[in-house]
Amino acid sequence: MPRELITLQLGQCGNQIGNEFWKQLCAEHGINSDGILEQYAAEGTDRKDVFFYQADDDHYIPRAVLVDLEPRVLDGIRGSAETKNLYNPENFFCSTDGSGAGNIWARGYAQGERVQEEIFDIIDREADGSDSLEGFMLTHSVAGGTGSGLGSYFLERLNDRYPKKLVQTYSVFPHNQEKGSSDVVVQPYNTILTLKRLTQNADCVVVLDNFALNRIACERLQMDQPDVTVVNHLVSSIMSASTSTLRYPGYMNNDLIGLLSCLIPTPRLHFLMTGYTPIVFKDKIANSAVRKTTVLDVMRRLLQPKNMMVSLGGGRFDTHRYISMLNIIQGDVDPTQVHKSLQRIRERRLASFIEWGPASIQVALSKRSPYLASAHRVSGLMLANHTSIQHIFKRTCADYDKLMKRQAFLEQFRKENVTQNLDEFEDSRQSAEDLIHEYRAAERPDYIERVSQES
Amino acid sequence: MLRSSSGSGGSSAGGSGGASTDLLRLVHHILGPAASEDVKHDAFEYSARLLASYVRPSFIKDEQQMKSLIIRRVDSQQDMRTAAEMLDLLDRFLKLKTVSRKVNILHFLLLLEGTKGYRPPAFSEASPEAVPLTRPEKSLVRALKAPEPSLQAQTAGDASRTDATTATPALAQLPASQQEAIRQFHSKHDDGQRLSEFVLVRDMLLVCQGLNGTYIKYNGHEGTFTVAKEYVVSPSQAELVRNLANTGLLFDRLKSFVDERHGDRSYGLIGQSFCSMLREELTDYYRFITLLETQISPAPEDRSAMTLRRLVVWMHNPAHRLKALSTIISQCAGVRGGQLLSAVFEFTLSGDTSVQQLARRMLDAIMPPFLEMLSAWVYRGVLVDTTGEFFISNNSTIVADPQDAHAYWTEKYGLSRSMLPSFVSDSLAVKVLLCGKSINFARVICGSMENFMKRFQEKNSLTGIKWHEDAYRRCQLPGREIIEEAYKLSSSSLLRILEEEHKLHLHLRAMRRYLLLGQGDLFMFLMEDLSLFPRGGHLLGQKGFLFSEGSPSSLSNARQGDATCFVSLEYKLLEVPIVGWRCNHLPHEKGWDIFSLSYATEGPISAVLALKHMVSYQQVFKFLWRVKRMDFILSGVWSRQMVEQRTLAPIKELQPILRNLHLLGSEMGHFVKQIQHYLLFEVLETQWQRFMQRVGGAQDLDAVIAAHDEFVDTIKGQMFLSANQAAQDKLSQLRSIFDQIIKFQEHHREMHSIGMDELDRRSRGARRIHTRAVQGSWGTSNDDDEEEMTAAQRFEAAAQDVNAKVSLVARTYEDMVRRLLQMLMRDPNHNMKYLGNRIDFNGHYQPTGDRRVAAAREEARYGGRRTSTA
Repeated sequence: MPRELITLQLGQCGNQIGNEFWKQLCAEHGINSDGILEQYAAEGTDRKDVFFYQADDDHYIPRAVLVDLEPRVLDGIRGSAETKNLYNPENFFCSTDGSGAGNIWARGYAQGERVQEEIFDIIDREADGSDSLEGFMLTHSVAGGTGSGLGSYFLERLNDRYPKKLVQTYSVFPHNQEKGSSDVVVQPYNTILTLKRLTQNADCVVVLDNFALNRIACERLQMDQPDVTVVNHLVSSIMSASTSTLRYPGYMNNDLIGLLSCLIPTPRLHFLMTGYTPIVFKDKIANSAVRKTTVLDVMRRLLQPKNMMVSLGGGRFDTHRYISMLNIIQGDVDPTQVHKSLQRIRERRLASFIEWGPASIQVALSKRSPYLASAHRVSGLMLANHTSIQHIFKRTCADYDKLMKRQAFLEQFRKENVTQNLDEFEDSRQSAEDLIHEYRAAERPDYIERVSQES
Repeated sequence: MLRSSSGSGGSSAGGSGGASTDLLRLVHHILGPAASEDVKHDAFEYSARLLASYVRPSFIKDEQQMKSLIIRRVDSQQDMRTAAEMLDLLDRFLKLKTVSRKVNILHFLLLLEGTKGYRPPAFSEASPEAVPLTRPEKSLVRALKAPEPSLQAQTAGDASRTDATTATPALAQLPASQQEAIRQFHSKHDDGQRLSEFVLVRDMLLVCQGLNGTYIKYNGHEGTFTVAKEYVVSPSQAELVRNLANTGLLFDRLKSFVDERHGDRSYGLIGQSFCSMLREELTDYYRFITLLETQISPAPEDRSAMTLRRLVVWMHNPAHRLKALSTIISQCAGVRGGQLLSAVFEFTLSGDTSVQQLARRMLDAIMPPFLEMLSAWVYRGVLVDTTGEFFISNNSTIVADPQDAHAYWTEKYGLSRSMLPSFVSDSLAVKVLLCGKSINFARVICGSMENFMKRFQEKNSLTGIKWHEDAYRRCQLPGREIIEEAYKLSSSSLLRILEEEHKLHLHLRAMRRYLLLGQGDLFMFLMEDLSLFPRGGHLLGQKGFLFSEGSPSSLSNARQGDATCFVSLEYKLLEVPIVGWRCNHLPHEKGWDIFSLSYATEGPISAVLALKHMVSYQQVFKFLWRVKRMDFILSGVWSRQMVEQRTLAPIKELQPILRNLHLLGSEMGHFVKQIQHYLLFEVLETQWQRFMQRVGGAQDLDAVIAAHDEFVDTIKGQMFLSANQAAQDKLSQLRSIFDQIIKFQEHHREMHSIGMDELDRRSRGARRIHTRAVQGSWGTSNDDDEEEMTAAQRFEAAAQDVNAKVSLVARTYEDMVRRLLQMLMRDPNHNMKYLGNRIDFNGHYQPTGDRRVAAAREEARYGGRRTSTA
């Protein structure tokens, strides 16, 4: 029985990474651009129906809903030979006024109210088409207007409409360390407002830090200019690896709940960071030193901050703790090696864990697609609940505070109901503060007592 | 000796004339003048014969050889000093120029020395017992063994002078006894009827066939053939008779051995061919005797006529062969079949070449039935052994049962070690067994013989096997390579049949999937499906709850493998709770708590996946199922908690309690995940990999079965399912932990409903206030307030009550995990330690206080214990 997941792709960024993800899945499952299973994949034992369903003519259709408020990206997807016949054309939604959200969260959120009927029609149809819907995967950026605003709106509505379904998001956090490189000045506002919904309405957020992704693209792949396709490829690798246990089912971790429940001990600590190794992009292997890939190597590398897809703000990594960690190892793995690697990591104390509860490195061994050649015997994805994630929130808060102090660029927000008076801003800022506090508390051994006392 | 040689060499008496006059004088001198001429003449004749009988040994060529002969003699008997003296004397003697025929003199002395101790029988009381054996060597030996006073005297006296003279007194001392002897000699011959050689020889030939002759009859008293008392034979003849009589006895024994067994069916084919071989030998012997019979003639003057002595010579070889045969049969008396082969084979290694040759011929003669049996078994899988001679035994109580091929394979045919010939090594025997078993199994159980027959048609016999020197030397059946090849072929063919026609690997994989609950799909389906059924799964069981054939594959479009494997996966609900697991009487237990899947195998596959394994698999399955269920419970709680986080958020008072539940849930979730991880990677996957490797490298079905047995045993052991106390303790500890998880689920449910009720109440309250406010009255009344108060108190009390229960569960649970950890860490099995390390990866369960100190203390404690036991 498949535990289906419906993917909601919101906004420019959400659709781009979503589109990359689907291309990756198609390649891994041997599905061609028309959704038809390749001859060589006919005997596969993989499970395609978590993400795809079959039309009457047996071709595979992604359970994806593509939403944007401006037509450019969706037109691109519809126009591309690679993807034009892949998606269900009825699952594209583009706002008819075509004005877009203009990078304003509030506008995206307000648009959401207007278009929700139509979009929920699509979502409901997809949900009804599933036997045992497990939840939703949402891809978006928290910085722009559509992904953040419309995304926030849908996070709230999904909770109302599908209260028992899981909502997992792949959220791209903006890259605004260097002023000027960011083209959206109100990014911090958008992020803070979205963060509140991510905290309150999502069950799990996979944080994709644009800054770290660009850094990896530059440093690890030795590229001068971080290319958006490279970054999107990195994201799609992470997404496909993190769903591999669902698509190549085994005894454990074969549904999303199983995967996430061990990572998220308390509902609010649900922001996960990722690491991936070895990083490969189109025959270009990151870091030529990565030759030998044993399980221990992969697991050790996954613990290194430089392979994290989240920028940790530099230094003081040692005070942070892993709350939980799941390594999904793909490839040709001898299960006994896992045993040895874990012992080694434990002996060498390569990872420091919280002390207030039991925690360890969970390992899931997953098959790799037989249809894709890989230069490496073993590759690994880490999904970790790590207290250093607070840095990204702190960074956002600091940027937000700078803007807010000057009350800069608030006119567009004041135009919309939801942010007319700045209560929503304050509320969201407080929520972010609480989140940072929660993560900081989790670093300490007395987390349980402290939190109980406070509440 | 002297007398005996007279028979053959007497004609040469006389020699030179001068010598005879000397001799005559000597005789006269010795006997003295009183003696009559007749006596003197007789004595002279006798002496002449004596002297003439002595022929200089041809083998002595020169003085040096003579010398070495003497030295050897002296060396072997005297002490060193005497030997040295002797050597000195000899050297001096040899240097003497006055003596010309030194060699002859020395030889004479040597003989004299030899005769000194024993008296020639003719000169003594002439007792027949003292007649020396016919063989010259033997008499020499006897002579050598006698004491030598003369040598003492000789060495004491003057060496050069005494040579010639010592002989004279030695002879001179004898006259009285000699006279006596001569008298006796004559008297004896005169007393009874003397038998001619011809008569004796004729009788002897009968005796040689184990029959009584006219004069020579079996003497029960002495246990041999003897000349009847009334007849007189010379001692030498008596000895010859005795000698030949022995041959007759041997022949008789052999004949009765054969007669006893010939035609006895229970003696078996190998035994019969053994008998027939012996009969052939006897026939040969008869033929020989017949030949000898033609040789005898009554004319005593005929020089070529058969004499007893000649008969002995003629009979020498046949007698020896009879002796060899009799030695062999004495070893083969109580044995049959393979043991007989071993017994005969033993003699092929004999140092006596004649015995060796005989044994080898015999082995060749009795091998064919054995090789026939071997061929039939090795190439056709048929046991043609009605009398139990072959080293493969057949358990007739086992019949071919397609439901239980395991018993047929393992118990139907076995090795019968007692019948295993010594030249078939154990390893070869096992291969032979497997070879035939494979073919037999393929035919009887798999019913696919054609493929086999084709493969074996070209060379389907081992009867051509011939023994050769190398094989004898190595004590190994020749043709070992052929058998091994046949073994490889038949074993691999059987494995191929199992693989290709009966999908062995597919079944094994299906078995693994069965253990892993169909990769979780099946599990989810069943969990969700069965949880819809009311409590009391036994009702379903009686109804026979079966999936429709199509349903398992419709669970997912993931291809699970061949459909046939799934068809044989039948689902059944046990009517009784599983023994070994405590039956839970909690109100929310559903049918699936006593649910079990069984995997039905039949046909050839059941040789590997036997009934006994199914029981083990079910145990393992139940354990995995149980763990998986815990996972399912906790996942369910977790996803409800995620929802509660939002829905119950308005009730602030509930938050700490919910948090306690979160933390306890995640702690439990961690534990269950670690257990699952251990079971999957440390136990199932690892063992599965080893198992697959062994199956891949298996040469025969036995190896596959052994690998599978080991697989099942190991996973059972590592899943705490073995019968030992340590495992039982851990298992029961785990059970209690799982019980706590179920309790936790209960409490969470309770808390959830309390929270939802409260939420409901509050919203109703708010609505009421709202409607009243709209109606224009006060939002609340006193009654309402009171009611509100009691409700709030009730809620708080209930929440605190649940919280207390949760805390209790949390404490109990943690204690239990700690205790389990202690058990695991103390276990000598490193896998158990590893599981302990996994569960407590970050040291959370270490005793309170500074963890590092605690860890060090722990280390010291366990380290100390380890060294003290080491």
